[in-house]
Amino acid sequence: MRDTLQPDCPRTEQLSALIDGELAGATRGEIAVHAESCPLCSATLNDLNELRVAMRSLSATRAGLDLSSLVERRLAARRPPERRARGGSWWHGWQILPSGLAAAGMLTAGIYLGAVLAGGTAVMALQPAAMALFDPVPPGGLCVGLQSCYPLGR
Amino acid sequence: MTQNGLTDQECVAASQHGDRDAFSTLVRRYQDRVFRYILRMVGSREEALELTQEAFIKAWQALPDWRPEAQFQTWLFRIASNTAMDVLRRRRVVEFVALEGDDELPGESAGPEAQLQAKQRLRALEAALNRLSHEQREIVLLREMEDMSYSEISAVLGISEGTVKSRLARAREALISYYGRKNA
Repeated sequence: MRDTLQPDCPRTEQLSALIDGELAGATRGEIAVHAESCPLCSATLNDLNELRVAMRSLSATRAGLDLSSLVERRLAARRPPERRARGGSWWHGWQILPSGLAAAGMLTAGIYLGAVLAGGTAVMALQPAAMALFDPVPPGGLCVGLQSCYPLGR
Repeated sequence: MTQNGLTDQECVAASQHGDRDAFSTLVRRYQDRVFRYILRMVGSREEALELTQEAFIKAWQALPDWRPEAQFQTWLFRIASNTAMDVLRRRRVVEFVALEGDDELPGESAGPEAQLQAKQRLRALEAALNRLSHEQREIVLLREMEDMSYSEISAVLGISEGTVKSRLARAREALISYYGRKNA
């Protein structure tokens, strides 16, 4: 854009900021005065201003429909935004306790049933000794139910 | 109750308490600006309409994080910019289609020849914009189309004002070289 700049010509960055009104007072004045007398810089300023005019035509673009009703419809299915507590809350941890316990129970039951299907003897060996307290035959009593209690020949 | 008389800050505060009417007011107030910005970024009208809605839904979800010291306009455009950039990064190859809308063209009173010339200039400008990198295009659009100050652009893009100044100048240089002085 600016192939043959003079040593005292400002950079395009400065001219670009000049047309945007983003330069401080003293610098703005110096560059404006220079651009008036420098054909290269005034040509660049002209290009930048004409580009601005061309770009303004894009500002007329419209969506062409009311997006608020479409957004509203999608938001209706959602909960209102909640303010997130900074640092979290102890109650949030307790809220997941019931579902956590249920998940742990389901997992244990699954492992147990899987082991039963894979091989019953292994599971029997895992029965806790405490279950003997609930044996239907009292200690020293006679078992009348199971044939294994009365081997042949006795 | 009409929300039109409320400021952006008041609408946002009401929206934060779940007032969707207040949020709809903000959508109506900003939908055209967000739409045309996303449209020039992604190049497809249908996709821009969808992404504009997506940007507003993201804004609704992010409302709890909004603070009164933030300007709603720059906060919203930051969401819109991220939404557009996410799509462009995923897409890798950007295919722009010629935009069919004629909002930007002069009315019939200008005469057919003037309309044709305006249409040709607009297509040339669109083609030049599409040759810019995503970063250059977004900064030019925010400055030239949305008329944002360097401070506002800095807040939208999360870069320093010095970077805004230099990136914008380079983008303008590139755009002028692609667009050509004959069109300007």
